[in-house]
Amino acid sequence: MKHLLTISGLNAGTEDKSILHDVDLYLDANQTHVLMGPNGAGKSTLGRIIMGDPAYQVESGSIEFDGQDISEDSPEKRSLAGIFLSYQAPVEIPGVPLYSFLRTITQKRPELKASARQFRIRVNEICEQLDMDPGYLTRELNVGFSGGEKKKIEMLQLLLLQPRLAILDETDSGLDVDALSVVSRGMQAYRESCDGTLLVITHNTRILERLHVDHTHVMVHGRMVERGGSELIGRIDAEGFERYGVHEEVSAS
Amino acid sequence: MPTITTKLNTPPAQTWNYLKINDVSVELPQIDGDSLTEDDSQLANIACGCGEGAARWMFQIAANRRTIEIEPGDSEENILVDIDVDQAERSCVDLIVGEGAQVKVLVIAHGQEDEENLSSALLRILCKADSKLELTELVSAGASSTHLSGIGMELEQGAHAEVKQYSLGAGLSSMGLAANLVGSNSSLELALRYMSRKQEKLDVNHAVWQRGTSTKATIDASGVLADHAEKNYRATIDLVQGCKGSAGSEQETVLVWGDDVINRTLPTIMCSEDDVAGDHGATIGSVSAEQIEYLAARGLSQDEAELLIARSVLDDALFHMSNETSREAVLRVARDMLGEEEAAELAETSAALEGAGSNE
Repeated sequence: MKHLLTISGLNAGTEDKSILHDVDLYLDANQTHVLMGPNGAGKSTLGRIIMGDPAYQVESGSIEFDGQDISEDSPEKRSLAGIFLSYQAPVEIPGVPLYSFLRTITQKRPELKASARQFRIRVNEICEQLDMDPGYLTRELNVGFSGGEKKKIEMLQLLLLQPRLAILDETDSGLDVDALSVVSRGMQAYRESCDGTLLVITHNTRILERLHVDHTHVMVHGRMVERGGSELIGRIDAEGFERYGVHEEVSAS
Repeated sequence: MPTITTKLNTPPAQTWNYLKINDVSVELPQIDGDSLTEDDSQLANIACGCGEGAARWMFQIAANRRTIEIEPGDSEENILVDIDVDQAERSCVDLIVGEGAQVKVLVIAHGQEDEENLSSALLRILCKADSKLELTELVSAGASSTHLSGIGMELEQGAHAEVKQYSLGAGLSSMGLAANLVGSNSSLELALRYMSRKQEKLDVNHAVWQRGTSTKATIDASGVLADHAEKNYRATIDLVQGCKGSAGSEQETVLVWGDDVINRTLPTIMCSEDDVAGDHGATIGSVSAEQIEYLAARGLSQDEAELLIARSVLDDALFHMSNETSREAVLRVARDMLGEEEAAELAETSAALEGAGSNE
């Protein structure tokens, strides 16, 4: 069976440090996967390597997306192929209005091209869905926004681009209850609006409450140590990562 | 007509002369002594960023002088200062914003002729207690023209000013703005956005004095320099003794787009009070690695990311222009820089977005 994403025997890291060891992971279309693990396990690194972050090097192994080896592809090529990474701390880009940014990244995708008016209607719908003030649209990208607002902007992009694979890297970190609820709704809306696959990297089980989780993966010290169903989340919530030799609490709030 | 050499935009604290950023010299037509008018405005003593001599000249040369007074508690959204650079128009406006009043001002200096025209706009503003000022300024003129802008403002207790300046082109666009935050809890948000191309020169002086207690000032400049453009930018925040609890911040980001541009920046924080916070920073060069990474993860190559940043100066300007003349002045630059098709897309996008900014 052809998977949407297949990672085989991946060893990778930065120039001076090996982080991921012999990682195998496959994700099928139209599913929700959760990647859990203690701090420093390499979860975010895996997300960034799938996205093609040049700060990391693949030492061996392969990454296939939709049957194509993308290991050598640039991040922009991976993005246009349908991979999306939501950042933990989205970067500020002074001088670039949010709306101009959204319009530019949408027009780059032939399947999403729309007239200015249609585009505005679509953006408005998503803003409403995310309880987002449309006044944000003329503000500069991520500049002066709170942590929660920045995460909403990431969700706005997710719903606008409808990628085939969305990796959410601790999108829930540092959010208050209201913002958490908005992000959670955004994830749910994404799963309902297209047949994209979600890979949620998280410490926080609360964010997963609205989602039907198909598979859970556990990473410890850069290795995949377990794959299971949604029942794994409850177990880790109760026991932490002790059974993997790690003593760390899992946040449930 | 005889001329005099006048120095403009001198910052409060100067640096080595060889760095060539202490001022800009301009040849100005000499004004006949017999035609001098006494400046008896109650705002005559408000310092303007262009400097005292230049402000005096701009007052005397102004063919159009007016004083606008907004009554306490009133709201006025449509104050327009329209300068036709091709007609070498020169204006002076004194604006008094009454206590608790709210006012929006648009200053546009527009033109397209490749002639050596000299225009000017002098704007002196007093914001009384708890008033709010929203000031947008646009300069978009022909490649050989000179436009001088001098703005001075004084903010009383609790007054707030939000200023956005756009310079999209002129042979020389000189913008001097000074703000005196005399009242406690007064605040200023000042943003400069620019696009300088070809042989254009941009010369800017921002000077802010924070005198009242718990005042806040932010200066945020960003823009693009391309081709053979030259830019001087001075930003000074002076945290004066007695301004306890105040905070001032300056930030500049420049995208250098070409090997022949000249970019000079003089960011200065002066401080004679202990209980304050002040910081400044500048990012000069290409787009940062983090920004490139983020934009790449959204499908944009480095060239496309840089084009987005350049185009965004025009986008942002268009979003903030509230009348046809100013929008057309922005679109003229867009057509010249990006071509008809991109400019049309820009216009459509802006039209579709109309009203969104009002919720800010």
